[in-house]
Amino acid sequence: MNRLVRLGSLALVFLLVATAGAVAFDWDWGGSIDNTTQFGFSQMYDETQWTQNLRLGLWVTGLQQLNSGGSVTMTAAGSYRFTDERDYIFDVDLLRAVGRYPGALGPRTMLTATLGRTPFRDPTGLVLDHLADGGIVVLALPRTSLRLGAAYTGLLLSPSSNIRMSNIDYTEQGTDDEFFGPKRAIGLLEFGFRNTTLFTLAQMDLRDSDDPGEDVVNTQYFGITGTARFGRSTYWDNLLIVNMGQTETGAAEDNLFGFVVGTGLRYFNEDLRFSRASFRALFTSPYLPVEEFIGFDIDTFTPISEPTLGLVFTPRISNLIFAELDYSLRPFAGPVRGPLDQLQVGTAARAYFRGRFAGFTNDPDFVGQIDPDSDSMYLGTEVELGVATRVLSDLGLGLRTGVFLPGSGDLGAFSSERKPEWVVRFDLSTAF
Amino acid sequence: MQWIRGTILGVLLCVVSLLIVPTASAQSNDALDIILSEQQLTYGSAALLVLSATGRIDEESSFAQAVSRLDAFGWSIADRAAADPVTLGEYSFLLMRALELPGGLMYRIAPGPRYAAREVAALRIAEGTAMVNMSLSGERALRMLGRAMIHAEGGRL
Repeated sequence: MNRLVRLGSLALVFLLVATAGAVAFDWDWGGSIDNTTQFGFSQMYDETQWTQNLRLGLWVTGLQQLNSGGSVTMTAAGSYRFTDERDYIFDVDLLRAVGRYPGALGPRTMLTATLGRTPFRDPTGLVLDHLADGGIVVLALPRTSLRLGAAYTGLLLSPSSNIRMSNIDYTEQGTDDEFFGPKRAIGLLEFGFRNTTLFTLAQMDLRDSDDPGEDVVNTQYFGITGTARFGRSTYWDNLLIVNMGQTETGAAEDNLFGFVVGTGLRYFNEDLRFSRASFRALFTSPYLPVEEFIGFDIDTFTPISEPTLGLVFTPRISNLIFAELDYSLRPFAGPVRGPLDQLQVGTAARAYFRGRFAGFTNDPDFVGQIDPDSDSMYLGTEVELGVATRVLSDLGLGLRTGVFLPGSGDLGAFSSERKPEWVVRFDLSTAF
Repeated sequence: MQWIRGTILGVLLCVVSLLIVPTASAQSNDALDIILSEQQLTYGSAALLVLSATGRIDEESSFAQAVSRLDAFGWSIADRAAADPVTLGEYSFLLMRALELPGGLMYRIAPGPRYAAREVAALRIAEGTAMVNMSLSGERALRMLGRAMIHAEGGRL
């Protein structure tokens, strides 16, 4: 009985403290409704492919301004998602506390600490761009910044997790048997100085490799990115990421060494109706048996989460050469805002090549359509047109259409079975 | 770069304040001094700011007169005295009504402080965090007024 009383008193004290703490915050709540409807057409399909994704999100956030000039923000956001593949998914999209402390480590410094479920992203977004549970500390100094983070991915729901690296990860993705996504621990360290960023990530697979059917992939990444500005609004971006790793399948162990290099130009001109033009090119390493020359083989680049490259065709970012041209503008944006001011039209062209013609067997999404006798590196070209507008501040609409023209027959790597594919996608987003 | 941005914003604030002075000539220097010194914007100050900036009140009016003028327009907040503080949402709602800003979808369905605060945040009239129930200083209110007037006249923020 005494124990119950003590526990009750403790709970009451905790509740009072929590309530007092909550009262000190300014609270707000809201929600969003997002819908994506996509149609796919091709001679390869028996019928039109139709996918629907409806998401209803709710959020609550609390803000407390600190006397020091900083603030503490608590945010919780959850969503209900209906897709064709699953009737519903309830998920936690954000659950975090963010503390901002200006001047914490001297004048002109800003310390930001985030704890909870929050997005984790490397500076390029090519290795990791995903929600995870953990903490991030960012120290911003004049011209310099330091970011340190640690995360765990095993509490993400399996349908929401794109952390897929090993064969067993991909096998689980295709089944309904797993409630949670792959369990991985991630560490991130990033140092930025002026326009250059050095970063490293480490990812540890928490599966037990001794279990039957399990394969374990641990990886480490070392990257450098740099941006140079030309003129008023032209930027030249470059990146290099080296990927090392270790795989274990039962008693068999192997080492990985892959890389990705990239370059790109970005241009923005507000006076030319908010024109944005960009070009980027990426080369992600294929498997290259060069051990006799350099002492080890080069392997395919293995990111932690796969970035989305195109609207119609999105291969995995390994053994791939990718080039993209993108242009958009707001044709009705004049010196004074008009009713169609926010209307944006854009076009993009993307070219895909495999980095090495042999051994392109790591993308199960379309490996069956590759011509085994082809020695061409050309995979195909995608062209996209899009229009988007924010009709009202809380109502956005978008329409994108694209076609992927595969390189097939004598011209490309695909067999003649692979036909062009069209996609039409409609997006609607609103907030309340 | 943060300090450069801060300096630019400071200069911008001064310029915007100067720009709105001819329009907001209803405010005497004393009234503006009082508003700028407020850590929490009061109801009377909010009323005087939005009504005088839109030419709805005489330039020599007091805070109490501004509040009673709000009553005449049907924009008053119930049980609120001139010296009581207003929230960012309440001030945004006054601002949107005085400048006749149309608002977003939800604001048109359910006009009020909640969606007015969202609107001023989305339009970048309110810089930084903008939550419906948070307090705001007189300086921030003046800066919001300047940006709202630029937006209402078709300018870009």
